[in-house]
Amino acid sequence: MIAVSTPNFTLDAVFESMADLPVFPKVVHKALQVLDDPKKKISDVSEIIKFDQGLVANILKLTNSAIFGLRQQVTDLDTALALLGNQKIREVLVAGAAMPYLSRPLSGYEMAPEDLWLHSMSCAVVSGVISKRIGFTDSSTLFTTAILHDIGKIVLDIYVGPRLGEVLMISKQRGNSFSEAEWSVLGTDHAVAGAAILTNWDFPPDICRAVRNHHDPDLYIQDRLSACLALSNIMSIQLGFGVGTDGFRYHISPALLKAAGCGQEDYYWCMDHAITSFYEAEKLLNMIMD
Amino acid sequence: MEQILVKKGKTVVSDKKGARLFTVSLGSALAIAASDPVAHVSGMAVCVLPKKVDKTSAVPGVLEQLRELFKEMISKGAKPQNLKIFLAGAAGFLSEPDELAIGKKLYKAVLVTLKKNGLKTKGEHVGGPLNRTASLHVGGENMTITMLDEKEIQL
Ligand SMILES: [Fe+2]
Repeated sequence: MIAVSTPNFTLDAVFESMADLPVFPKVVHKALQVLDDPKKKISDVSEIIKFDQGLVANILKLTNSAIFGLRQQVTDLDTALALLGNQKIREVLVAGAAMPYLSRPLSGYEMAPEDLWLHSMSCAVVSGVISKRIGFTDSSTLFTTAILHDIGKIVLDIYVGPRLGEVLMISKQRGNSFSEAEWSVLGTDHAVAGAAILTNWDFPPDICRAVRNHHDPDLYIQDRLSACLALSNIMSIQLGFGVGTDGFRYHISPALLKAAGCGQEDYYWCMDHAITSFYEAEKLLNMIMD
Repeated sequence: MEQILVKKGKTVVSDKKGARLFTVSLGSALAIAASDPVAHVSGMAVCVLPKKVDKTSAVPGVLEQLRELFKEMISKGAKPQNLKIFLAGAAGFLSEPDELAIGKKLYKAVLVTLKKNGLKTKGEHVGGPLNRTASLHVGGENMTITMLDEKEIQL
C-alpha cells in the first residue's frame, strides 16, 4: 500500500500561477489572422511583428537553422518572411514566440534549460515528417500543437518539484501512467494545465483540445489532430530526443496509428526520416545556448 | 581520454588506446557493443530500425549494422571467440501495441542475428520505461549504463 497525501487540487493554483506568466505575444495571433486573409500581403505580417525585437531575433535564428531548410542565410525580417512562404511563416512565428517559455529550466521535472526546448522542437520536426507522409493538410496547426504540447509543465513545475518522488513512486508501484500519478498527487496533470494556458492565450479550441488529449489514450483517438500530436510525441520519445522524467511512463492506445491515418510502413518511414531531419536540425539545440 | 559518440543509426569500431565509445539518450534504440580485450578492439552499433525502410534510406537496418560492426572488428584483429557482447536500450512504454513496439522488435531482430552467428551476450539491460545512456572503454570488458534517478550499472 502506498501512502499518498491528499491531492492539492492544484488546478486553482495553476490558474493563479498563469496570471504571473507573461502573455503569449498578441502580435503572433494578429499575424496569423493576416496570413489567413487572402487580401493581405506578407509585408503586412512584417509590419505587425517588426516592433517585437525579441520575437524578430528568434524568428531570424530559427529561419537560419537547418529546420526551415533555406539555402541562404538571412539577416532581415522581410527577406526571411518572403523566402519562407505562408505555411512556414506560421511555424516560425509560433516557435519564435514560444522559445522564451520553453527554454527555462524545469527543476520540478528535473529538466535542464535545453531539455523542454529540444523535446518540443523534436516533436515539431517529427510532426512535419508525419504530415508529409500521411498527407495531413493542416501541417502548421499540427506543428503548433507539437511546439506547445508540454507548455503545462512550465506552470506545474513548481508544484511537481517537491512531490516528484511521490509521482514517480505511484507510477512505478501501481503501473500508472505519469499523468495518472500527477492526478493522484496534484489533482491535475500537465496536459490539462497546458490546455488551460493555451485557452487563456486565445489559441483556437482544436489546438487546446489536442494539447489536453496528448497523453490520454481514450481521448487522443477521437480526432486526427490529437492522434497525430500523440504519435509525434511518442515517436520523439522513442527516438530519445529530449526525454524527460515522464518519458516512457505512459500507456499507448492500440487504436492510435489508425486514428492518425498512419499505416505500419508509414510509421517506419517516419522514424527513418525523423532521424535524418533531426540530425540536420541538430543546431537548433544550441540556439538557446548562444 | 578520447570520447567517441556513436549516433543513432551509426556503427563505430575503434582500437584506439584509452578511448571510450558512448551513446546518449537511447530511447527505444538498441545499442549493441562488442569488445575483444585480447586484440584491444571494440565497437558499438546503435540500431533504430529493425529493417532498412527502402533503398534510398540513410538509416540502416539491424542486419546491415551488425554485419558492419563485426566485419570491421574482425578486420582490426578481433576474434569471434573472444568477443564480449552487450545490449542496452530498447525502452518501451508501460503498454504499447505491437505495431509501435519498436524496442521489442529491435531486440528480437538482434537476438536472431546473434544466434544465427553462434554469438551470445555477456550482459543485457533492455526494455521497460527506462531511457538509458551507455558507454564502453575500447578493449574493456564491461558496459556502463546510466539512467535518470537510478544507480549506474556495470554489465
Ligand atoms: Fe507531455
